[in-house]
Amino acid sequence: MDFAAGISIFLVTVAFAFAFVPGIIAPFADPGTADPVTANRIADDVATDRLSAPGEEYVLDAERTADFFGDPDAVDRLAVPEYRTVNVTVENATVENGTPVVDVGGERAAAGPETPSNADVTTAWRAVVVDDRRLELIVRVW
Amino acid sequence: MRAQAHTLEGVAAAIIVVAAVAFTLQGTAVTPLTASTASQHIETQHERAAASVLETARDDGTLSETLRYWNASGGEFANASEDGYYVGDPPNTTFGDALRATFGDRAVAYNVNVYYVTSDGERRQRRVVYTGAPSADSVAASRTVTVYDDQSVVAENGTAVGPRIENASYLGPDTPGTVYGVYTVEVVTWRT
Repeated sequence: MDFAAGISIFLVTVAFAFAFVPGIIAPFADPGTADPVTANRIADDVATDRLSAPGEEYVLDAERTADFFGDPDAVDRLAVPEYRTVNVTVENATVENGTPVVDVGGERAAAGPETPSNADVTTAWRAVVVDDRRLELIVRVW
Repeated sequence: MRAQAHTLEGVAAAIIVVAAVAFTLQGTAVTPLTASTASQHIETQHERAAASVLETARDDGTLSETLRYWNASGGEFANASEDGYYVGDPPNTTFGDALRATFGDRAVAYNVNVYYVTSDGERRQRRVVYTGAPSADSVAASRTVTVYDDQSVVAENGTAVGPRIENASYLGPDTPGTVYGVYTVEVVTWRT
């Protein structure tokens, strides 16, 4: 009887320990699910340098923006690691339904493949102004 | 006697196992509450978002308009609460609308402060929008704005309606020359 009490306390504790330990290492055991550094770097690069006129950070130049999104290989010009895919869009956050992606200078402001529904996507966004419209530049990396 | 020893042995073994787990937990630097790269990403994101709103508003002059949305007789921001600042919700100026559009539906709280130097050289903070005390993971972005003597107090939409700033009992002393003062506008954001 006393032996049963002792061994059951011990077994419950061992079971608890085994159930608990995987949770401790979970943050390390899941590499490469997200890439916030790449997403932020590309968003900063696009919003403050690549598409904006010098000295006017976050104000996108319509001509440059149309050039960028008009190029079918636009995302290849960004510094993306080979094992990552990136999608850059300019969206109007206030659109209630329908597609939020806007047109800039006659070009649909979307570059890169569509975001797959099952990927772990890291999103970085910046508030930008294009032609006096207040929009959001959204970079998705997966 | 011998039977009780079995129980005590079980308890002692259990304590050793729990102690081992606790020791491992101390050894790992990461717990659910530790700052991770994910929360770092969100902080960076919020800082850049605040910076981009400030930068675009400064470029098109709407940041200066919000500072000049002023009640000249009361010596405080126009239509502000009793305390002299906007509580919880920014003013309906272009910059205020931009803040609302950027952070409004993202569960991000923000304070807007303006810093100026008084006539005896002290740097003062004045609240513009106050949502509450920022949490420990708050981030801030700031930009400077110059206000000139000949600019006027404006309405919500930016049209001049009031006296010139030099006659409007505005923040800080009037510096010599055509410049009234240089103000640092700071946006503090944090997750709610």
